[in-house]
Amino acid sequence: MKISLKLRKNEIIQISLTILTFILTLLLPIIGYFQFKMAMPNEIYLSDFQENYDIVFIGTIIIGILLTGFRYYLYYFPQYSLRRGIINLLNSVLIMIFLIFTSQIGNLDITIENSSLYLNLTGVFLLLIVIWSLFIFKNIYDLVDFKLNQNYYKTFVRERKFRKKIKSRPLIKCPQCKYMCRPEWKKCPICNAKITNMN
Amino acid sequence: MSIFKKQFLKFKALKTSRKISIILSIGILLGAQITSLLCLVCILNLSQLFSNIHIPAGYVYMDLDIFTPENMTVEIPYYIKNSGIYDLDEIELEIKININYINKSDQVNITSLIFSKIGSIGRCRALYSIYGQFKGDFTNFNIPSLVDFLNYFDETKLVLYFLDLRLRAKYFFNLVDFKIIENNINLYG
Repeated sequence: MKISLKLRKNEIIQISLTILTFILTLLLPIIGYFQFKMAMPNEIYLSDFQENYDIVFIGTIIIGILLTGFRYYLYYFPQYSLRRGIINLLNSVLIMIFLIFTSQIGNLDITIENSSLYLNLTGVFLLLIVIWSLFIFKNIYDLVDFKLNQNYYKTFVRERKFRKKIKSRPLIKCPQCKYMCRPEWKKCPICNAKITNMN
Repeated sequence: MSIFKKQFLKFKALKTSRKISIILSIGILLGAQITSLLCLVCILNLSQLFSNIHIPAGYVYMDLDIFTPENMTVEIPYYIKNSGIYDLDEIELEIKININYINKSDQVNITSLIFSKIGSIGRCRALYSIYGQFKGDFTNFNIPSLVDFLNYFDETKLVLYFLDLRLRAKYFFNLVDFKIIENNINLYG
């Protein structure tokens, strides 16, 4: 029994980005959680939020599930549409919250016998949060743009679709002047010769 | 027509607001990529850096002659190799030396602090190493404990010297702050 799986370019992008989001926002936090849990409390101490570690983990997982879902359904909405703009904005806000949640593990205290290492990576997470806020700004800009220029984007997308459709159709050569004609035409627009569709 | 020219013509035909959005996207994406890459390099460098800090990096020299205080000194060699691509800033070192001996009058095991100093090493530039001596003079000694030790320690029993060290530094444009603490490093007297 043969199973053929035909995917369009859009679907391939959609699936691969969903898998990537799943790995980054769900798989890695789950692995990290259990790794830390095994090392705690003897070796690793998460200074300020040691007691709230489980709650922060649940929060991170919920945001991870939402992000993966959003990433998957994002491609069901038409390009340059308001709905897509809103989903994009929600996505970037959620990633920001996700970063804030994960930044809590940036304050580490690792102790092994008589030695200990205190590492404060909050500055790095802060830098990433600042960079991510630019994405939110960009998404707000896009949303306003989609709303204001709704008609332009509608025609823009339609035109592109139409051009793609035209490109995918085979053209027929005129038997007299060799002009490439569309299959639905009955006569050649140049020499008025009758076009015979072989198909 | 080349692909770039085609893309440029497509871009030129777009509405201004769309052009701004595309430029913004490219700029922010590039910025995010570069920042993430720098952060990743920083994390990778840090693990290497910790294994390249050697304190003490050799013999510790101590002169405990309390009758001539100006001669009293401690010299601890240190070696820090920064193989990463970022400077290591504001390196601060705190050293404490404890002494463990048996009191000859009552045969009690005593541990007392005889030396303590916090000093700045300064900066270790990227791809450079620093080798130096962390020096302390009589002002850093705990004279009463030292006098007690010299008067009452049992010469027939073993005397142990322990070193407690705290190294604090900043890395990656002062965004990463770390502290290494090592207690009870045995110095063989």
